[in-house]
Amino acid sequence: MMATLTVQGLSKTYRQAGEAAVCDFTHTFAPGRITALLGPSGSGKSTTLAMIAGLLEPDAGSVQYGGEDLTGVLAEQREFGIVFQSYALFPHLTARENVEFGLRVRGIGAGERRRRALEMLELVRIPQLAERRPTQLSGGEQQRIALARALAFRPRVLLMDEPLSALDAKLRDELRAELSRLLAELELTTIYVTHDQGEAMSLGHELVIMHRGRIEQCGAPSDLYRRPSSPFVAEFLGSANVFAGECAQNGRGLIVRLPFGELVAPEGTAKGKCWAMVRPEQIEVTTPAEAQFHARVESAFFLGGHTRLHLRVGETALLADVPSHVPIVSPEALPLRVRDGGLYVKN
Amino acid sequence: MNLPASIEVAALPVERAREATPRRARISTSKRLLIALLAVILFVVISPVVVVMLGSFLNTSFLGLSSEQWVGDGSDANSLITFQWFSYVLKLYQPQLLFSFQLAVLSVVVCILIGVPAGYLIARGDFPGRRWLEELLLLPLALPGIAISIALIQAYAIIRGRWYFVLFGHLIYTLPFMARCVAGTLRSFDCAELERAAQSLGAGPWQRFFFVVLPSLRHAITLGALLVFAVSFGEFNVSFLLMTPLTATFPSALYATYTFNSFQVSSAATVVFLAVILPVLALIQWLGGDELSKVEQGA
Repeated sequence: MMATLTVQGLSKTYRQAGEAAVCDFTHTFAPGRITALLGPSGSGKSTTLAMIAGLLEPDAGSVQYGGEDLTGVLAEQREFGIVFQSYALFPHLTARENVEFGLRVRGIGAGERRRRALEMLELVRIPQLAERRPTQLSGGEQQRIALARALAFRPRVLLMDEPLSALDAKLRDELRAELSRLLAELELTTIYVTHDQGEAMSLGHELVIMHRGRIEQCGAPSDLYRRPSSPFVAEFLGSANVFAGECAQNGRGLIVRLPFGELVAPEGTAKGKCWAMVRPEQIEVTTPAEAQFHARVESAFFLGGHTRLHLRVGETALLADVPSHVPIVSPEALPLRVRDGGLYVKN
Repeated sequence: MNLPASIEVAALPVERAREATPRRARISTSKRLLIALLAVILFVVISPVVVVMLGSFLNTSFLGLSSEQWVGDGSDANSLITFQWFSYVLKLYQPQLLFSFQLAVLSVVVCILIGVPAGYLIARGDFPGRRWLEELLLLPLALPGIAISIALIQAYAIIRGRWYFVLFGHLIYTLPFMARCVAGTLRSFDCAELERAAQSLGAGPWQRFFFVVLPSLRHAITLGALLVFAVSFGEFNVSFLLMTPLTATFPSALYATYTFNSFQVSSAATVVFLAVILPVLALIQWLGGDELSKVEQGA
């Protein structure tokens, strides 16, 4: 049975900066699963990772693995594998020697070391590059070696710090798919730091969204996407139309007053001030009779399967993703409605 | 007959050549100027070396170019080429040559032992006064050698005349080269990230230093060692002023040949000096001017 990694009240303030880089980070990481630490740059996710790794001393808080307190334990004794954004491969060693490094410092014999390194290179699908030096390899190949190196000594936890962000888009997608397959096979507790929400949602079993050094929300990607706890999360994960509004009673029942119109409030909404979110894909073009509101189309971007519309209702700007085959017949006053269940309201 | 066709084919390139000629001519004029300028510079720089080299084995009095009388065994008096001055220099100044060689090698060893960690501290250290340490280390390069020598003599009069005093003087000049080479290389890549990677893989501080930092520095240390050797072997100011008869270095012996001996003898001594130093300089050049220029900028 795999032990659980628990982080309790981790905080760090850098001397130069007044504001805390990380403040009271508490989380229990699901064993054997991938947790994506997501946030804009400067939100403290890399600092958190460095503290979990033991590369940075926290001002307060603790890191525990199973029953073992790792807070004061040196990084080299934590048995946590790390994959760095810059790959950080040793330039004077070949790919195989890089992968062997963790075994070499543990005093494992040359034969066994070699066997396991080649096995790892096999796992990341580049056994043919074993005797190359990092400078002779592409970014994607280097990152594979960095991953093989971090896994070779059989770490208890794998930490990845923006591992794909230095690669170009196509390669990134390719490696992301492979990483997902590999990590699923390994069932290794993984913390994956990224600022790319697409990467986080597709790879992470669980998301931890950070903002200004604090955890904003955590949970399964689909839950966070559908039920964000704050406008920040709503806008950070995917695109969203977020409004401040008010929930009130009228003749038909509870309604939400929004800048572009009045909509029936979803169940469980309380009266009073609230904020509301409508995802662009939840807005659809309809007939004038069924329209909840009309908007002027300011611009339309054809994106293949769907078209993104930049809409305006009075002073309010809206985004809508509509299927590309739907004709925009009256761009000055396009009849629109929010799909059933497409309105999310939080008091 | 195919003759007309072949004439046509032959005519074509001629036409092209005529078109291209004016442009090519312009380039070659500026090129020719450049080559001429280079030739003049090379001549000015190299001719003294050539003169010294020729002077070291050509029997000038035999040629009737000099009335200088060489008091040797006289066996080569009637031949154009002679190596008697070399054997004289090597015999007479052998102790100095050996001492200079030992000093240079010792300087290299000590610089590796002290200069490498110092360079590491300068580049990677995180302690108050780090910048000051760097400036302090570079200070000797900015001061005249004579000033330093006098200061050394006044401060450490008690060990004057010991060989390690001269070594100490050399180290003041050579340590900055090694430290700058190492620090410059460490700053040119993210060594800290490599060390963190090694740490995450389970390497302790010593393993990190020996398995990651040192191998990354082997180029810089080789270059630094060559520079240190060259600087130490050729160092004159400190050597000359700290010198006693027992601790004279080869450059001060070289000076002595110019003061007390004939042109031929000092030429031969110079050639001996160049024979040691030129291969080292060539190696430095070959290993890369990059780090060298960084060192020079620092100095």
